[in-house]
Amino acid sequence: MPDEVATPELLSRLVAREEGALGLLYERLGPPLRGMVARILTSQEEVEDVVENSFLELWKQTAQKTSVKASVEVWLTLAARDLAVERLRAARKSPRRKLSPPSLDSAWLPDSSEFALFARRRELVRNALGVLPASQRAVLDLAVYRGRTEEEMADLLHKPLGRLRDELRATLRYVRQRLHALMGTWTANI
Amino acid sequence: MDCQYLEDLHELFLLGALAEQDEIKLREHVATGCPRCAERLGEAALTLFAILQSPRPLRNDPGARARLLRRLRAK
Ligand SMILES: [Zn+2]
Repeated sequence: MPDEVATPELLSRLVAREEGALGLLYERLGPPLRGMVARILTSQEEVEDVVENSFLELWKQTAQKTSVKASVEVWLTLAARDLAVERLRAARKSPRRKLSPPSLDSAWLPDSSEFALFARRRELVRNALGVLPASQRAVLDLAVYRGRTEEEMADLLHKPLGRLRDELRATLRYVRQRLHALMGTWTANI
Repeated sequence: MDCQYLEDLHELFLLGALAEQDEIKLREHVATGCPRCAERLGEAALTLFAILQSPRPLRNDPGARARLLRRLRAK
């Protein structure tokens, strides 16, 4: 069964161009991605398409590599979110340029040990996010799941841009600080 | 370079939510190789990842993996 092979092992096989490894990674990492993309897009077909495209992009970006340092969980999540939001923006003919998902090579991407640290505290993180006031949550959702820019959010919420910015940035700072508190040492190795 | 004033922008940068002039400012600054901003981008990526983990996972469709591999081979 797929769960018998660890993710780093599957990644090595992927780098060695083993197609089956991509299938096994998809089995393992697909469900959280589908859940997340379904928050952004309503058509089931589009959700599936975006999730598959992120795995195909992973395949493409590992083509010339000997190893992958970045956490594939984090990279796939950010990439799938961007691909989904790009579709939303295209559908509403947003003037904003295309989003470009980060390159798997980006040196700043969290690595698998940072992901592991996060994974062990997943429930605590979920709880910390769960206590955000509804109004902060709503603004965060507009940015994260609706792909709105600060300017668009200020318009939509009839708020002055300066205030919207202050509130949104404060919310993100709060989330970041909670994560820091929960994860303790996450930047100790940087 | 002092980039304290960019401190809160990295999450929004990764979300593509910044106004164009802020986005350009940060992009150009990051391209100079600022270690502090590299650290902040990593932190921002993990913060967004944590947020994006909150939706409930949805099971893959039966047959989805086979379709993915068909698409891979068709490329
Ligand atoms: Zn900097």
